[in-house]
Amino acid sequence: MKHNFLKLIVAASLSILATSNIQAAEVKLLNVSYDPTRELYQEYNPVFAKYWKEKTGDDVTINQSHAGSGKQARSVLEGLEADVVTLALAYDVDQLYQKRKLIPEDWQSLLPNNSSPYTSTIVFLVRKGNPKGIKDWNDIVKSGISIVTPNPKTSGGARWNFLAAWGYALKHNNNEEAAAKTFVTQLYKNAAVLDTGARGATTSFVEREIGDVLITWENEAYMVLKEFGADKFELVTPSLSILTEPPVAVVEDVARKHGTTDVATEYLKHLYSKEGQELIGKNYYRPTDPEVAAKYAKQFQPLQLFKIDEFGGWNVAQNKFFADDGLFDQIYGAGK
Amino acid sequence: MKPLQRTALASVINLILLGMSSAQAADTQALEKRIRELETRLAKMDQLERRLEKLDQAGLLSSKPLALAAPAAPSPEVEKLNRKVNTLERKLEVQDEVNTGAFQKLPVFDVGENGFRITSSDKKHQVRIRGAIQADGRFFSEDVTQRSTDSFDLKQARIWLEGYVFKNIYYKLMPDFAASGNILPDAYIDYAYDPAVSLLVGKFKPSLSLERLQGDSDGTFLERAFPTYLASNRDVGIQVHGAFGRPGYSAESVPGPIDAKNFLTYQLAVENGAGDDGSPNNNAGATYDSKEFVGRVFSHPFQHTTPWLEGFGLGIAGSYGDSNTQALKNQATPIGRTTYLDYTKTNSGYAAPTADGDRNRLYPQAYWYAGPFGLMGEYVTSNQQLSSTKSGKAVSIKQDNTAWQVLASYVLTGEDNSFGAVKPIQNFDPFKGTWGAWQLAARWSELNVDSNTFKVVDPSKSANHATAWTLGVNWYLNSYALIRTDYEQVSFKGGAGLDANHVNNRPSEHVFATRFQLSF
Repeated sequence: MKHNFLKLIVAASLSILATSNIQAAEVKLLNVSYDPTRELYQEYNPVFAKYWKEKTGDDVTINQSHAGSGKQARSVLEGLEADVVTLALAYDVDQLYQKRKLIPEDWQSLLPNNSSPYTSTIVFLVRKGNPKGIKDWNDIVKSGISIVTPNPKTSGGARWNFLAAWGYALKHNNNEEAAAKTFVTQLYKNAAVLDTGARGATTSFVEREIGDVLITWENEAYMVLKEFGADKFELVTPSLSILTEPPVAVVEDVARKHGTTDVATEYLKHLYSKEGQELIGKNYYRPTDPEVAAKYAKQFQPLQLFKIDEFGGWNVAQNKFFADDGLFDQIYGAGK
Repeated sequence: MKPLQRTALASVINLILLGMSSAQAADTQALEKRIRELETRLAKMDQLERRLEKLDQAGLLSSKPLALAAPAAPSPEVEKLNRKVNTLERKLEVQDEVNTGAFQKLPVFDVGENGFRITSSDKKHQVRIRGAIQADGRFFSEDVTQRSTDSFDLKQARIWLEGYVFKNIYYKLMPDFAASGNILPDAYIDYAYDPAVSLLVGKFKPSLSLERLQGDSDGTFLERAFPTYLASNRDVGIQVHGAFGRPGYSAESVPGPIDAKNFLTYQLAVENGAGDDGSPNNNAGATYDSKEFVGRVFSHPFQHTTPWLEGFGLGIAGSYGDSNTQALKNQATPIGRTTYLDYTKTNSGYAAPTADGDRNRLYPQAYWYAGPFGLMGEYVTSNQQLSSTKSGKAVSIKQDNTAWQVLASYVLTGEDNSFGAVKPIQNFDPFKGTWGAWQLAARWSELNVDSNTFKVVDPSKSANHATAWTLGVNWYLNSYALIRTDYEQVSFKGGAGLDANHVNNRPSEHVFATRFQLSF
């Protein structure tokens, strides 16, 4: 009798659970990202929201914030409550640990590929017909060439631009730093305007028709050709450039406070899924999934790539080139 | 004229001529002449018509505008200029963006009714620069024994910093350049994490006498009354304090030892114990281990109820300490500041007494401010052990002093009276016919020195009782400047020599005092 009664209780409980209308949770995430990723996350966010809904039954709304990577990192340090950051370079993300311990020290090892679900590189965008005959880095430092590139003090893309130019100059001058310094000095002397972010630089070049050449992310250049027409601009792939590895991270301190750790983690993990990688490829980023990368390989021009490791990593590069009174400050002061 | 019309006209004229007589021949000639003239004119009109037709065909007479020629492509120089202009415009926009970001981070500097303040752009930090100058004049009348000196005094010359860092940590650093010994009256940090509990550390006013807790630039008279001087002026220690709102209301966080805003406040402190009217010098540390415990509870029980009762507050404060041969400060009259109780003037053979042993004080206190009217009162009973020596032998006495005061004030010009300063509705500006704010005040205060004291202290040189009545007029020119004028009469018992074993009463003191004050 007792046994039957227990069975009855269990059955009744299960019935109640099965028929009850469990309220779905509504979650909000803030993704603080760098400048040119607007289109990527505009496409990715509803895809993830649908995935999360199917997986958990919960609704998730992702709000975006975009600006220069360095500026975004500073905003988060100053209190902008980002659940995740998807910035342009590892140094900017690492500041969240160094300055305020918002993320764990080993954040970069928590996701595959050093927490970079996509990569890109640095290329040139020129006017249709390439009237100034720009083919490689040495062409853009010639006299009379007007360059558009953002400011390395605020933009992550700009720092990649600088390092790509520096790397090229080293390679073509027997690794002589003096020659590389002369090279980038001339480059910034040719800079018409230094926008605060990569998207601002694109606007200056494309809409305001400033400059002869835009140094920009590969994905950004392809986006311009798609949005504004390949009849107005041309993409020029230099012989050598840097492999840019924009990382992503959950801001654990904030996510814990918001109760969004699980969804934030899954939001970034899903970038590595086939679905996420497909969107990445469609938006002209280089997918890290080998299968998807192979599928989109044809849309990219071949070029020789070097990595940030050649400079000793981001900490070394940041201190040497972009810190106050670093090489960029010396160069840009001389270049003005 | 068209040919058809001309023919018709000629036909009509000819028909008319057919019916005419010879007598009418002369008229006929005239008519013919007229016809020929008309024909000439018609021919001219024909020519004109043909010329107009030609012009019309050439389109010169058409109402439609002529099509303009397509503009020529801009020259390379113009294109170059265009790009230069675009570049300059964009540079300006970027600079604007950078400047806006920079400007948003700039601190805000504010000068006005609330003094001088610098606040960080994120409002987490603030420095407020404040100052006070008090220039007094004291003039004694009926001073037959020349006990007192008419004088001009610089009572206060303070410039200080106060503010907060990281929103919750308040500080005050206040030197006084007019003070002879204690040139740093206030120096404290107050961690006001929550209105209910805050931690105050440093040198500050002990939470005992109600009148002492009024701001040094506020108050109603030039100087405080007798009860104030039986508590320490300042002390060094640590205080936990907090405030609670009336049920249903939140308390306001008020940093520092003075809170006249909240429904219920408390202060609990451990201090070195500075003695009656004592204020430790900067380089004077404690000279004994035991400390003084100070506690106070004060309430505005009718807050958020009837408006005319909202300004009623009452409370009680007390202290317990155990001093160890601590020097006693002489007691002086409120306004005149002349000594009437001199601990150094002792009976023959006695050493000057010191505070040595238990010391307790109890301060019931209350005030009531309603519209222009103000009333304040407090009473103190102060018990302390004194010790002295006579001929090498220790002498111990228990001293129970009491004091009390009642003061009333009234603002004549319509402003609200308050525990703090009166803020004029209109500043003094005679050309505009505005006169600032005016306040009248009256006070009665008494102090009784325990008769035990005169076992050691010479009764012929120190009074055992003092009674003071004071009248005052305050003129608040604006929020920063005021002029106070007080008249006080103090009468004494004892302290004026022996006369056939009878101690004479010290002559009354009559003093007229004025203060010019600027504080911000």
